[in-house]
Amino acid sequence: MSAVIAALPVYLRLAAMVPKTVLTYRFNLVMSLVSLLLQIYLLRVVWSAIYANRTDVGAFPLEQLVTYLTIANLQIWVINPQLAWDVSQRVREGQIAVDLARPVPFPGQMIAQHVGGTIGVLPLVAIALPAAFIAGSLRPPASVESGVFYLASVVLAYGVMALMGLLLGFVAFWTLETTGMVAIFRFANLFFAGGLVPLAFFPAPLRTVAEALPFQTQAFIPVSLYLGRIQGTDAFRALGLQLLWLVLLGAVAAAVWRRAVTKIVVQGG
Amino acid sequence: MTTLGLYIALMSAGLKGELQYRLNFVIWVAMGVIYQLTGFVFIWVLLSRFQELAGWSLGEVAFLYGLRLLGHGLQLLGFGYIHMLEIYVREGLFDRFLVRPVPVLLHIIVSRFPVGAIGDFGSGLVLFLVANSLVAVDWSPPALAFASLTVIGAALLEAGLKLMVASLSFRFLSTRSIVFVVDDVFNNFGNYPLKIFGGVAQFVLTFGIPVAFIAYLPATVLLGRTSELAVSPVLAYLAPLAGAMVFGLALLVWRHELPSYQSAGH
Repeated sequence: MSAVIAALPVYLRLAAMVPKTVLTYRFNLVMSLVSLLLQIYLLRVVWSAIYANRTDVGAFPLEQLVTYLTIANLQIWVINPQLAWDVSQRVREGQIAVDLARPVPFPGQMIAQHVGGTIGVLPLVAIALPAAFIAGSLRPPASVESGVFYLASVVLAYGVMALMGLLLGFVAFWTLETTGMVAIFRFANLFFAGGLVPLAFFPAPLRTVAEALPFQTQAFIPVSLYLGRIQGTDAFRALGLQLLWLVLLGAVAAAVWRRAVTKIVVQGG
Repeated sequence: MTTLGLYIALMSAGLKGELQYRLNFVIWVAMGVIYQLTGFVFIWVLLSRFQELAGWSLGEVAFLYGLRLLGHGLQLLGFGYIHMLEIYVREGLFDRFLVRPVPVLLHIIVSRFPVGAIGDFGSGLVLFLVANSLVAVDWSPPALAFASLTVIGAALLEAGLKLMVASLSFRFLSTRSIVFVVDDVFNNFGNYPLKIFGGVAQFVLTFGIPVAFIAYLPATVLLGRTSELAVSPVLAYLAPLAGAMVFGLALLVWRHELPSYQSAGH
C-alpha cells in the first residue's frame, strides 16, 4: 500500500494523459453515445408495451423500471472496461515492453489510465443525462440514504469491473488475441448485469446463475440501492457482496499477473 | 468472366484463405452466433414472463426476429466488408483497388471473406425454423417466394444504406461509427413489431431509416397481421422492392462520390 502511495504522483500523471486522447476520438464517442440513447429509448418503448394493460407487475412499477433501465445502461456505458481491450492491444503491439520499463507496475498503470479515461468521458455524461431524461426518464434517488448507498455502490462497481477488465486483458499474455472474448464479455455483461431485464424478472434458474456471477454488482445492485429497492441491513449486505468480489478479483488479478509477466512475448522486439 | 462469376470465384478463394486459420474461423463464427443470441435471449426472458408484446406471442416475435436475422446474415455474407472502405481510403490502400482489372466496388466487397456472417446467418436460420414451428404460416409457393424475396430485399436494403454511408468516406475519411450506428438501429429496432412505437417513431422507422421493410412489414403479411399496420398493406406486399430501390440509389451515390477520392500520403 505504501508503495502505491509513494507512486501516486506517477499514477496521477498517467491518468491525466488520457482525457486528451479520449477527446481525439470524440466523434466516435459521440456516436456511441447516440447508440446508447437509442438503446435506452428502445428499452423504454419495449417495456412500456409489455406493461400495457397489465396489473400483475405492481412489484416493479413502470416508472421505477424505466428509471432503472436508464441509469443501469448509462452506468454500464461509463464504467464499461475498455481496459481489457487496452491491455491486450499493448501486449499484441509490443508496447508492453515500454510499459514494463516504467517505474510503476503495469497493472497500476493500466488502472490509472482507465480512471483517466473515465474522467475524460464525464463531460459527455453531463450532456447524456438530460438526453437520457428525454429518452427514458429519470427520478431522484428514493431517499438521501439511498443516494449515499448508491454512490458507495458505484465506486465498488467501478473497481469490480476494472479488475474484470484487467483479468480479461491478461488473457492476451497467453493468446495474444482477445477480440472475440472481449465481445462475448460485453454481451454477457450487459445481460447479467441486469442492463436489459432487472434480475428480479429472470426465470428462477437463470437468476441463480446471475446471482453467482460478479456482473450483477455492476448495475443491478447499485441501481436497486438507488431506487430504495434494497434498504437497511440488506443494503449493507449488498455492499458487502460487492466488496467481497472486489477483494476476490483483486487477489485473482494479482496471482494471474505474477504468472503473466513471465509469459511476455514482445512481438518484433 | 461475368461480374457474378468473378464474385463467386473471389469469395470462395477468400473462404479458403480464412479456413487456413481453423481456430480463428470457429471463434468468429461463434461470435456471430453469440452476438445475435444475446438480443434474442432478452426477448425470450421478457416473453417467458409476460407472454405477449403488443399482441404478438413469443413465437411471432421470434419469427420476426429470425426473418430479420436471415436478411442481416445474408447482407453480411454478401457485402460484409463494405465498411472496410473507410480504412482503405484513410490508410492509402485504396490505390491498389483502382489499378486492378476488377470492378472497384466488387473488389472492396470481396477483399476478405466475412467469416462471422456464417454465425449470424446460421443463427437466423435456426431461429427462423424453430419460430416457424410455433406459428401457423401457410407456406404456399407464393408465400415461400415472398419470404425469399424479403430476405434478399432486406440484404440489399442494409447493404445499400451501408454503401451510401461508406461512399462518404471519400470526403469525410471517418464514417465507420456512423455505419455502426446504422447497424445498431437495424439490429435493435428491427426485431420488434413496430406498432409498439408511437406514430412519429413508426413513421421515421418506415420512411426515414427504412427498418420496417426489412422484416416487420413482410412479417405482418406472412403472419396475417396486416390489419394492424398504420400504412397501407400494399406497402407491406411490396416491401422486398424497397431493398432493390435503396441498393440502386446507393450505386448511384457510389458512382457520384468515387471521383472525389484523393489518394492519401502521395
